[in-house]
Amino acid sequence: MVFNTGAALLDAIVLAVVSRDQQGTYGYKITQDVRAAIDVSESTLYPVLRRLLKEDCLETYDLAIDGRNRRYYRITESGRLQLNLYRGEWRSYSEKISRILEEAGV
Amino acid sequence: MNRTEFMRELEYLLQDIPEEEKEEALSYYRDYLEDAGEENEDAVIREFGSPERVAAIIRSDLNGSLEEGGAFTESGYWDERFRDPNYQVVERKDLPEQQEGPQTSSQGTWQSGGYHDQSTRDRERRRRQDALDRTWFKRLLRVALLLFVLSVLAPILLGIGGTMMGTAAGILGLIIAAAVLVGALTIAACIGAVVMLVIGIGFLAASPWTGVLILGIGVLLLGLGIFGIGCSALFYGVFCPWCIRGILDWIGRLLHRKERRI
Repeated sequence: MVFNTGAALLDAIVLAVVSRDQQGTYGYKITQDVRAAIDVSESTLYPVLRRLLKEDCLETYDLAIDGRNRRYYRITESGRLQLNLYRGEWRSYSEKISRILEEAGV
Repeated sequence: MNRTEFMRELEYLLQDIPEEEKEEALSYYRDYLEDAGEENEDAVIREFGSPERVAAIIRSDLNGSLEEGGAFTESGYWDERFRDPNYQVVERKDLPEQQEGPQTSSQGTWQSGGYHDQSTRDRERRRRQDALDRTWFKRLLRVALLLFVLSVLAPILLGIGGTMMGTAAGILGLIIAAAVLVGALTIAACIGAVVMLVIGIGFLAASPWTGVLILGIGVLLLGLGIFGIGCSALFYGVFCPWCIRGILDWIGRLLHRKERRI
């Protein structure tokens, strides 16, 4: 790995992953989806999800699956707003970085 | 380490955080392992690192200190404070430990086996050893005292014991005799009644008065027999069990007390 992913970017990625499922998605699946983009360790999304819950960006509900309750995470309205903000920020940030890297005289 | 062991260990490590937070965290990781499926279980647990590491992540998040340190890198969350279970990170005084009291916070280190705080562990071991020593000493003292008292009082005790044994045996004999007697009398009365009645009927034709007399005696014996059966039922069904239970209780209490004294 070369570049670090900051907490804000990880928030953005998690929000984006969760927002793809209208019905919501669960911890293991979120982790696997996030790992498609960046290689976070299996154990580390719990604090992130918890923080996003506390900030009302996500909400949870329990659904009975195979005789047990599985916790589902769903994006909230303010989560969507936050995600849009991250999107805009990321667009300008990544464009600037890309431009500078491409203009570099190698 | 399998799933059950991991969860048990994690639960143990999270004992001191608020119940609600603990349940939430535990159910998240339980869910996670469940959803990962049995085939991925080993890999996932290996990636978790150790229960200690997961517990540290949960704890630091509770105190809001996760935001300040650490970053999510492409090889996972990266934080100097709990870098990896394979590395030793000394000085983790910024990790939340205040629920455990002040003595555990300063000298802990993260090692491959997890969190170790030498001073707490030593203190705990010493304390336990002390307690063990004390109880052993007390027991020895008690046994010695008991032996001494017994040796001094032996003659008297033997005398009293002999008398008591004799009395107890006498009472026991009486009870057994009474038991046998009641039964025997009842049976004798019943048999006598039947015999008398038969003989009485036999005599009735030859000499009516003698027959009537014998029949009367038979009926009387029959009454006694029935009364005896009632008495026996009461005696064998209620009194004897009560006696035996009483004796057993008494012996049991005697043994128990003796055990406790030693």
